[in-house]
Amino acid sequence: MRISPDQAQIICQQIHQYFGDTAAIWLFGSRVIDNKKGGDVDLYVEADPHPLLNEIRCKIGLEEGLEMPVDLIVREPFDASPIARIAKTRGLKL
Amino acid sequence: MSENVQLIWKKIEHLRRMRSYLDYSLEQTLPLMPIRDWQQLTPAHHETLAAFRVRFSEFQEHLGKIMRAIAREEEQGTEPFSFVLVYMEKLGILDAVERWKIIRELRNAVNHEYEENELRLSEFFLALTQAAPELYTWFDRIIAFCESAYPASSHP
Repeated sequence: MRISPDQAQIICQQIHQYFGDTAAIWLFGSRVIDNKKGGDVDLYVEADPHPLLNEIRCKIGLEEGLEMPVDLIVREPFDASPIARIAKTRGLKL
Repeated sequence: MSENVQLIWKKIEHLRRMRSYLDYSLEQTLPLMPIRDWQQLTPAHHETLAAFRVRFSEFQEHLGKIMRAIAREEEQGTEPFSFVLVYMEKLGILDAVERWKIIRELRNAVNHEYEENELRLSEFFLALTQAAPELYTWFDRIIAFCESAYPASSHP
């Protein structure tokens, strides 16, 4: 994967701060493909229901902490949407 | 009057027009809030919502451009854009930098989540309608600042 251990730590800290310690996180998209360059940080998060502003503040915090564009998708556990399937089967759990 | 100041006043006139269009869309959108059942919306309602989100997005984007132009005129750093926002907070135009960022993310999210998650989308639209008056306030403060700082050109 093409994020550093420090960046992975920033991601986990931010996600858990806004969505609780039980939130599960997957990195997916171009950042899990080693021979690609650049690209947004695509994150899929499974979390219990939460206020809208938590999601917004988390994304802002992630982009400022990582200094990279972040695409953050937050769904409740067992979401069966195509994006959930793609993120969880092709992505890496952090 | 510098070329940049002329540009600032031109942008203000443009923003005044944009504000009137956004305000019209806001008036059309408010009766639909909160959206509880997307299936009940007519094509005309969807058009209203589409116009509102586009006009909201464009208005904030152009507010950002005029803020950058003011910062440049005042010989402040403009890169990254957060420097401009901090300066706007210092001038009293923005109440808080974070609020600007939250509203920017709200509008980006509305554009991304379209047709994806209807419950969330309803919340985003409601939040945008509530945020529109804040954009107007910031615009009014920009005009007041420009009338004070660049008076020679203040009323075209």
